[in-house]
Amino acid sequence: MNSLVYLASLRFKAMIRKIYSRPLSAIFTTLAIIVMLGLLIFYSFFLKMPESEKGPFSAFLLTYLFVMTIMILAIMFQKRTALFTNVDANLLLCGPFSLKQILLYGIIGSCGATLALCLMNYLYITVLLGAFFDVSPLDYLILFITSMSAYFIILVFTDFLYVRFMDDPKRNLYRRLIVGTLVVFILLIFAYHYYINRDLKIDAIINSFMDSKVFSLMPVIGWSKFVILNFHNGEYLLGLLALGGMIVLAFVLTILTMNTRSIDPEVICDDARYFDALKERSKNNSNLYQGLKVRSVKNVSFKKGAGAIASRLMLDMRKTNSFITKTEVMLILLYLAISYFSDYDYAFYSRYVAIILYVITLSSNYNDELSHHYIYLIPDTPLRKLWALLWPSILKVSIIIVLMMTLGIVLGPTPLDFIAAIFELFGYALLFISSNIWSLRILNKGQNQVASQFIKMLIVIIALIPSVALGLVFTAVLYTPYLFSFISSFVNIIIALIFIYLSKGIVSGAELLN
Amino acid sequence: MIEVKGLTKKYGNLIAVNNASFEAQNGKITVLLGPNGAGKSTTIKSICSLLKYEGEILIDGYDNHSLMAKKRFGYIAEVPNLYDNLTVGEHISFIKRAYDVKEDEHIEKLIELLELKDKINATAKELSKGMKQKVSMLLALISKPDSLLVDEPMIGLDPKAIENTLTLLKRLKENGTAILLSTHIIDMMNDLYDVAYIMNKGKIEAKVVKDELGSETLKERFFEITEGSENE
Repeated sequence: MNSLVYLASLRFKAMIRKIYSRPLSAIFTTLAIIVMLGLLIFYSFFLKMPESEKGPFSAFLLTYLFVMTIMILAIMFQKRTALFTNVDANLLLCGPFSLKQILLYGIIGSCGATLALCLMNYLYITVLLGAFFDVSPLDYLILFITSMSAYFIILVFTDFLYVRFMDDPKRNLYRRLIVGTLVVFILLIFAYHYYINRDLKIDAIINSFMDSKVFSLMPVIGWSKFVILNFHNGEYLLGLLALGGMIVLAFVLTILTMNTRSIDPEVICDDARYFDALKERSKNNSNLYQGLKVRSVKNVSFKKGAGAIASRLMLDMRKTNSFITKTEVMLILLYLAISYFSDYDYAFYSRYVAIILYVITLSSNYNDELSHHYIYLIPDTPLRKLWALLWPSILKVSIIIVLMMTLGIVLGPTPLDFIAAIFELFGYALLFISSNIWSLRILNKGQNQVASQFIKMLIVIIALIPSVALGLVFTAVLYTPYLFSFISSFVNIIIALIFIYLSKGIVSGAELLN
Repeated sequence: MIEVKGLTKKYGNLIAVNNASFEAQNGKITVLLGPNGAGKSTTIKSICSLLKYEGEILIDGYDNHSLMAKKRFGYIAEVPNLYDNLTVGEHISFIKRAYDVKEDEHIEKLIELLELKDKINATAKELSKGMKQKVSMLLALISKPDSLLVDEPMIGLDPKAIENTLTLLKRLKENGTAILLSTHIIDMMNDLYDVAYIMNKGKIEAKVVKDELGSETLKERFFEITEGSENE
């Protein structure tokens, strides 16, 4: 086993070395860690806000568990899973290792994934919302430990089902069936709870459902809530017992997984290749949720010159059904439902839409396109080629804006609200798209994900300053409520066009190909 | 015609190509010959404007970054780089429109020569590596380029495809195309080349003109210069 533990430690060191091998990547990663940890320490010990201005811990926990549920469901409903990467699979299956060692190495891999998922969930919520809620230093600690246990249980359970049903071609279906049944069961309980409390508002019903004993019985999510809330309320023994229960379950699942009698190397290798392909697509910023199925389409035509690039991208979207993905549709409907049931106004709803637009524009697969040499060789001007590259994204977000704002009519906006919101969002969307491409222009391709996302976010925040400042000044001077939307949209479009112009070199030289 | 003057390409402290100057004339096959890591592919990619470099590169007298130059050359990459989800036919339509090519006749002939007729509706990810290489070749020739840059052309091809490729390159040469290809497979080049530049450790070490070589073979001259060295 020593050699495999050594391999795992070497790979971890290599990852750290890669992050710190480039000065920009090292600076931004360190900065991101310092900022996030600094914020948590600041919220815990130095932020003095009157208790009345802070939201209740239960609301904070609800949001935290909501994000956790979404992430867990995304893991459990994956079309396919894999135990190893291709390199690992080849090494482990050909090398002098026992089955137990091989499986334990897989579980070590799950530990890494647990930490990554936990940090994503934890930092996203704590950093964004920690300042506005009554969260103590102990709460932060317990939240982290419980999340680690919860994600580990889920990942080891997934590994367990994978190795146990390896011989069965329907193994992925079984996993989804088990979780699907559980989800349906919980929804039925919620429906019953909704029915007996139907006189209350939806947010009150959700809160009372979360407070109910039935909720605490819900696997992983309910248990996590039970642990965190008991520690928060000073019931340390109960909290400790429940947390201990979760850790014991994780241990039992690990033992069960390691004691699997046989594995199918062909299945492991096949899934490893699939996993690697998925990872490669993720690196290229391709949309992971579009699946790998390609359908044939009729009436294929390409525009002349640089326009052929846009036509090709559109064709790719048609073939992979990814113009608007299922995930994006779900996200849209989810935000609409939250806004509707929470009595948010149209202006607040449009801020939600701006967040969705930011998420969607980040997933545009420019890297994929830029890794093919044809874009550099096509005899057309760089600006036209860049515009062709961005056009499908611009078209996509424009359609999403119109679609979402039209659906948002149920919130009762005036016609001027509707037009102003569309203008404002279009400005934001163009700014997000152009910031994304400009960050690609100024960053090296080898930059790690944390650093590049942080830089992208930073660019967007800085780019938004002029429009917000100008919009506020004009609105304050002229006292016209809708002026802010139009002014900010105009300024954002101008800045976006400047970014696009500055990025044109990205399609003329191609160091990105390296 | 391709003219390379004082080409230097550095990756950090590593000098991949060091002050290389040479030319590839119309109607001739010019070969960049060298061991692994000699800088051949880097040179080809620089000519295609796929890398940043120091020096000057002209295609038919135009700077290689200009539109006029881009319209005049075709490039066949060492590793075929196709769009996974597009069929072969869609790749052809894409390049035709991108280069504004109106005629179809020569494309039909190329499809036939490269034996791709029954693969027109196959997506790139369904093709074998050799088939992908053939498609890559076809795409580079759609615009009838005056200059053709080929990076390790025979890798991944079966014997028949190699034979067809050699025939194709000879035919293009007869039509006046300037062909610059990089390879380390010397034996295959004996019948093909007109001029060979031997590269080693990023430098052009020698120019060998076939008609002036006398009794010595290209292989003998190559090993004389490189001593079979393997570069880092």
